[in-house]
Amino acid sequence: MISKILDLAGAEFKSIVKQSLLFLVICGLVLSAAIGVFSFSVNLVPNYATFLNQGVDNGFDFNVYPDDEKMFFKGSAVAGQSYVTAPFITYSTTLHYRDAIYETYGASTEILSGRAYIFKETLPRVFQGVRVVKGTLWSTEDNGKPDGYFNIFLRDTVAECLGIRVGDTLTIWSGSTQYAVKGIYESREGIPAFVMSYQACVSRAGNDIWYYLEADNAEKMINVYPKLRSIGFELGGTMFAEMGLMISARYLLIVLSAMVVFAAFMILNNILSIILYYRHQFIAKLKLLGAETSVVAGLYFSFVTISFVLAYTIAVVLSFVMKLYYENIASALFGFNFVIDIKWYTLVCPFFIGAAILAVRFIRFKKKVSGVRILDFMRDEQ
Amino acid sequence: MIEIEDLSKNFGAFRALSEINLKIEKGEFTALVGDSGSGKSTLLNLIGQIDEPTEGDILIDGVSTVKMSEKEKSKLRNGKFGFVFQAFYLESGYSVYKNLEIPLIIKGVPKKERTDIIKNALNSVGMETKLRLTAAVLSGGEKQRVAIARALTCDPEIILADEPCGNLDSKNSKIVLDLLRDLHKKGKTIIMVTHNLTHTKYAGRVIRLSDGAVVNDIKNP
Ligand SMILES: Nc1ncnc2c1ncn2[C@@H]1O[C@H](COP(=O)(O)OP(=O)(O)OP(=O)(O)O)[C@@H](O)[C@H]1O
Ligand SMILES: [Mg+2]
Repeated sequence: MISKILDLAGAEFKSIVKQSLLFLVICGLVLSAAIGVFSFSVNLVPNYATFLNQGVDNGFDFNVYPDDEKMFFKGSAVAGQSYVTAPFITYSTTLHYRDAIYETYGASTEILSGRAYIFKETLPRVFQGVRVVKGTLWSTEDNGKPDGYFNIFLRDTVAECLGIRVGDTLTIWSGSTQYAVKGIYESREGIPAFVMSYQACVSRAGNDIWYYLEADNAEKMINVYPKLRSIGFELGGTMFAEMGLMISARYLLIVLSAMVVFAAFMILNNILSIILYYRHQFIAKLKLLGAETSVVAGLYFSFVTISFVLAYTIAVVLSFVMKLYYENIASALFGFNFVIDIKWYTLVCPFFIGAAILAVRFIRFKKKVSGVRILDFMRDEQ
Repeated sequence: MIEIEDLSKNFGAFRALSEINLKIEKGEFTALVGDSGSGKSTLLNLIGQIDEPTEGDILIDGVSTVKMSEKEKSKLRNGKFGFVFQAFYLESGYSVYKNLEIPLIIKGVPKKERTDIIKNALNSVGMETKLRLTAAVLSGGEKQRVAIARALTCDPEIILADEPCGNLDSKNSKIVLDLLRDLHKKGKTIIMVTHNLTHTKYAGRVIRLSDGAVVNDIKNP
């Protein structure tokens, strides 16, 4: 059966090429482009998600406030700076990005970090990364266990925007050192704060580590950033605009993918219709000479399958070209490194969708071929 | 042996054949004659399993064909019958060789064996030198010889020829008729539709149709 199909295909190849080479080439290219865009899009969409999840380095300087002048823990504010007895860390009342932070050990006051905590804009659940800057020393010695704790203050309006309520469990974790400590976002003396057990902290002296605060129930940043903006937070640079752009691009790509799959479907369909139209008599002749429907359908389907596989191969190359192109555009326009990580499954995906479309088309096509009347070979030729 | 039993064919309300009963023996050379529209082609197509009867049955070597599956009918068309038509119906874009190769591929003959079979078939119609030519460039007479060669590739028992000389001049008609006579001598059953009464002298039996019915059936005229 297969060898019959291939032998007939070998004979028929020339006529098909002769009769409709240009058409086949155009269809093949459109199909390639369609599959390519699709494969690229399905790559891009998850990539956008990762990209948005990772947050943006030059980010969102999101200040942490202990509400107004009220300090949660014991310490004193002197000349606009907050001092606190170790092991507590505190902030100046309106802490800004790159503000200095001081910590006192007994009598001596040291500047432990030149730069303060900045909250790094990140996405789902992770509402902020906390940067502990170079030189910060966190003591593992807990004088007064078990109630040593570390407080991070979130302005309640921010917490609200982020969907974090008092009582929620938050986690502080470090991607680089793989440790996480859970704490409760709670209200102490009227000031909501994230309070976590201190003892798990280890010395980070000399390291530049990112910490992320993660809230179990926090909303996705994509959803909250307009709210955050409305209460006065601004993203660093043009991040809001970029995020908006990326989000719409994401939907656009999904629509594009759908259109592309549809286009591929139509092209395959049309190739088959055109084959039926131009080779109708020949199909009837094959049947006259004793060919079974499945052999005839298989013969033309082998062409479609070959075109599909060729188009798919071109498409894979194309999607890598698009990847490079898009990455370059991203860095040129927005100035960030956007790596589209092409995954095997996003390449395999269009292949299987294509194969599924082909399988469905094959059944329809076979039906149509079986509907060709043998006597049609007598239709006026040429 | 072909047994036609109460065979009728309607095209809509029009009755092209009505209750035909015929028995054609193996090895017979039968000519089908009759006016235009009398149902000759229709009958031949029904015998060749390229159309389906409205009523009645055709038995090929004692086997009823009305109940046959498409697959079985395909097999009959491929191996049992050889078809020759007035308008040749070669695939004009294909070479002579490929035209002859198609039925062999369908039959499942291995590639190595095909070449010999094709060459022999072309030899028997005197077309062996035109192997590589495209069918479109052949003359009418040559096309019909190639068509006959194609009909012979699968070594059929029965040749169904619908006005094989209809498009040919007398010289080429004679070539074709002589070929059919040779095939008959080799034991093939031949059923040939013809308009030309002088061609009936090649046949051992002449059946005349009129308005879809057999009006005359003469053996050894
Ligand atoms: N597919 C069809 N639909 C309707 N009528 C048909 C069809 N095929 C044949 N006929 C009619 O059946 C009748 C017999 O046709 P057929 O082709 O068998 O005649 P014929 O004897 O071969 O004639 P000719 O010598 O002109 O070839 C004709 O009247 C024809 O119009
Ligand atoms: Mg006729």
